[in-house]
Amino acid sequence: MPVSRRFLHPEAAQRVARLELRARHIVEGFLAGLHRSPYFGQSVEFVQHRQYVAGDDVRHVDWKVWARQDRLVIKQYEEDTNLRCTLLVDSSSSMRYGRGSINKFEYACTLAACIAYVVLRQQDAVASVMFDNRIRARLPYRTNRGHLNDILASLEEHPPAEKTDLDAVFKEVVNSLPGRGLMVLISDLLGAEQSALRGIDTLRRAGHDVIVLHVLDDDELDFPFADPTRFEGLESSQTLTCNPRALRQGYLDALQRFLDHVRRACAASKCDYMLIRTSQAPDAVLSKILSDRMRLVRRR
Amino acid sequence: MQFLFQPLTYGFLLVAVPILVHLINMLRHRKQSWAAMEFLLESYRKHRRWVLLKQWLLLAARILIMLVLVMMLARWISNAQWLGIFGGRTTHHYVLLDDSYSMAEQDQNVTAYQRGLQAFAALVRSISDQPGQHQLTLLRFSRAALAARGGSDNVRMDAAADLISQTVPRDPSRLLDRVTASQPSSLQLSAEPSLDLVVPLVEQHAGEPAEVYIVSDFRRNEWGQPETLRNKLTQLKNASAQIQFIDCAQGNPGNLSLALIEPQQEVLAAGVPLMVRLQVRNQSSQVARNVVVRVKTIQYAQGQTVPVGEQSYSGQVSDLPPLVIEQIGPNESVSRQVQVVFGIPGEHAVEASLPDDSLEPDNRRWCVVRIQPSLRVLQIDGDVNQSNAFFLSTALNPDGRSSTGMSIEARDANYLRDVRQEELRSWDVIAMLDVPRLDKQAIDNLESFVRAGGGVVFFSGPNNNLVELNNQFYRGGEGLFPIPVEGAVELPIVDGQQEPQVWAEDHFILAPLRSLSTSPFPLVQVRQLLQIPSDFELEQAGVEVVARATGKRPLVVDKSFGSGHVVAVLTGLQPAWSNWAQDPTFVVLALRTVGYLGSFRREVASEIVATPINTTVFGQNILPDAEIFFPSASGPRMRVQQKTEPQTDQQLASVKLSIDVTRQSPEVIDALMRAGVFETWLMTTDGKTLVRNLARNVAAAEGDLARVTSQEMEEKLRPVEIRFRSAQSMSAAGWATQTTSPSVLLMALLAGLLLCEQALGYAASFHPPPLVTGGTR
Repeated sequence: MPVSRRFLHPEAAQRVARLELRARHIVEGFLAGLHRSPYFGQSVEFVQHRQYVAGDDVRHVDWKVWARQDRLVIKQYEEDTNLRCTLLVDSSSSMRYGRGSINKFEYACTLAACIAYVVLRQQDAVASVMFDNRIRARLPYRTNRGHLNDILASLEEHPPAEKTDLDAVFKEVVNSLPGRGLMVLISDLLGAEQSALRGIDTLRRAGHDVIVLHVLDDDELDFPFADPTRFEGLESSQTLTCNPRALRQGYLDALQRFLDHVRRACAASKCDYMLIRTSQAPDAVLSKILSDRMRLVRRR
Repeated sequence: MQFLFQPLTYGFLLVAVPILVHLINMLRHRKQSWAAMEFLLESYRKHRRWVLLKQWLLLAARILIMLVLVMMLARWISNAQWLGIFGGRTTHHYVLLDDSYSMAEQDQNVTAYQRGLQAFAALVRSISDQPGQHQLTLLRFSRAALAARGGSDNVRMDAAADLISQTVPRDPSRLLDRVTASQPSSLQLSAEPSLDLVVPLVEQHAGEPAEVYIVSDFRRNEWGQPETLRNKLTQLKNASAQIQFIDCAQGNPGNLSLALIEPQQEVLAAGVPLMVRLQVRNQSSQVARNVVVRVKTIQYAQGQTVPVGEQSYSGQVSDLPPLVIEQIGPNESVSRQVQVVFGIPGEHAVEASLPDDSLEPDNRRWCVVRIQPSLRVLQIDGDVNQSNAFFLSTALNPDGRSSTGMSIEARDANYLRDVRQEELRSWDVIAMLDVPRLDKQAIDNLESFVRAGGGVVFFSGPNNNLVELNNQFYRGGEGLFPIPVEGAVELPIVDGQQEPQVWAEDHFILAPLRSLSTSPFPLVQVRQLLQIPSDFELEQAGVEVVARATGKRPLVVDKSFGSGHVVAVLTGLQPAWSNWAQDPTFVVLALRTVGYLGSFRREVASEIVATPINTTVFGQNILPDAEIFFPSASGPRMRVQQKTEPQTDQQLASVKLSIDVTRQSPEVIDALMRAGVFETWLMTTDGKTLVRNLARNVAAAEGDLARVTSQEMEEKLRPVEIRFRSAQSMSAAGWATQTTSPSVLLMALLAGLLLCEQALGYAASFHPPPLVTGGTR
């Protein structure tokens, strides 16, 4: 099966193509157009004055104010920019889980491909990063349609392996990416809970707009096992032989606590968070993501 | 711990199944790679102890379920009293077994008693197979009847019952062997004494389930009037007992009974022919033809015969020619007489038997004939010429060629005054021949003699003093003489008269002459006789008329006095009064009167079965040890040693053996209830053996095998509810009894354990919860 057919279903791509992806915040970009930049630069529309601080470019000093009021202020203008979207796809071992026709990693790749397609279709730039406990593959921002094939190939070439360390990976991502943009994190967030939450916070502190797509399998959310089972950890060597029914309620309680922590952390960091079951149709999930974001933009 | 179905106890190995399943579940699991291990481990760490505890409890519950299940299937038996609070109350079974001799009725070589025992065995096996606690009481009618003779209720019941409140073992063979070895008794019995004993026992356990089984053949002679039992059955019902009548008899077969055997009241002297009367009763609805009665005599020679235990009798047995009765109608009795002769004095016996039929015990009968060397007759003649004594002695002992067994002596009237009582008792009969008067002492002696069983015959005559007769002998009815006398009357004699002047009445003395087709008295002339007052009522005074003279005047009368009898011939022996002494019929009158009067001092020839043994020996010096031989149907006879009991009179000694269920062993009780000849052997101080025989016979009425229908009994016993069943069906189909058992407890326990297992299984999350899928949390 071609890579494009595997991760990007034609029906899903056609459905999401009709939507526009709008960032909640104005992002920095080099393509004037639909997105307002959060940065002030050379533009025709004045926004405000600000007190001059050492280091500011003296070319932006409003000399007329200095002449009348004897104080140095800087003139700021609003400019439209293009979107720079970074797809952060978790390729750790835990993403390999899935009992149905598709596992979490494949589902994450599908979502990533759909988002890349939408972004490229509206002439915005998209980059991709695949990681586990380090960055496994990285593609730079491009706006041309051919970049989609590169992204799809990258997803295909790096199957899940190793443990997850979001904190370390995202620090590296923040340091390596120029400017701020939209970060779409597609992961199960399993591994070290604190590390995951710190990683998300790192992205947000760097000024990125962050969307967390939390992908979990139905089994992980419902724990439907009945027969005596020996559970073997995907990211660890731990095993547990038990009667699953006896531990089900405790497991679901622990999972619920984890999900609550993640939700609260995302809300605190003003990140968009969505819990996604692998049984949900990807296009429906993508439609919901875009519609939610457009509603937020219009509200502003 | 006992189980009814022991092989099923191997099922206890099934307790290993839950353990194996548990172990297999621990080993047999599928592998599952899992991403969210930290949450699973967290849950495991948090619930590990509870999960393990629930699993162990679940395993224990499943093991207990298997244990209880196997206990139920294997029928756990426990005698623990505490089980009663769970409904395992004791069920009491009271079996009242009729062992009257009608139960020996045979049909296809099986007696009704055997069918009753088979039904009893089926009941016992049924009880032993059933769960719960059961107690069995078995009481035979005969034992209850014997116990009813004395003792308190508790003592009687303990001694009388074969089994009393006995727990039935799982293997009842030994118990059954003991009971099934018993035989029907020779008694005629009713259920009343048994119910008398059982009712208090049932009422004592009124709160517990009870079944009363009356196992009988329900013959009409015992059960024809069951209303008398209704009160007792009602008492049982009020004590919550279920009553079942188990019918052991089949059909209504005919039966011939030997109803009577007794020697006639004649002279029982050595060498004198004796008539023994037999009576055969046809107790069926069909005519019996050509009935053969076999008669045996058993002769015991005093001082020569020795006890022989290996034979039926110690005496010499002789068969007499069989007696054939051509025809006996339905429900009719026919009497016959057989002549037997015992040449030597002693206590001999006569046995009569009928051919075998459906009921054997009433086919044989015995009587004891006590033969004296001679019958001693004392004559007191008022005639100075002793002419009266001549006529009488001539009639009693005509010549030396034929022995009448009489030893006759004549004394004067003073002898009666001076004689001692002991000596007077040595006479059997005293003939007072026209005695004018007696001293008061003589009259007292004479009256004592008759009261003790002796016999006196008065012959009238010219010397009779009427005043003396009325005042001294009759004394207003209190004296010896049977009648008051008005005076002597002369009867007219017509020459050539053809009509007899004497008529025999229905009395033993002249019975042989009465049955003749023509009168034997055509030549007898009664010229004078003593006249009875016209207003004297003979019947009211207890006087029987033996013969009458012209004008239906009483000629010979008989009256009992004490244990003896007095016969008065109201005419004289001398020709002036009558010529009867010269007529051949006078010989009959004299012999039979003396034989009749001499019979009242004899011991009875036979008694009913189960009459205690009581033998008294007169005038012998007896050693203290006696030996009693009991009759036996076959084989050696049982014997017991018994001490003689000295009497106040030095001349007397007695041997007694009472039937007391509280003292005698069951074997002796069984033996005492047999029919036949009981030989009591004693030894005199000079070394001679002495035997005293007693005959015991069954009650003839029991041989009537007519039965009462269940419908009839049901109607008569209403409103008491009775369940009727046949012994044969019981033996085949078994018994349905009220059951209570620990199974109730086990079932409740099992249900509880199953609920507990389900709850534990649910608590241990082995039950799949409804899954919620497709939604986000």
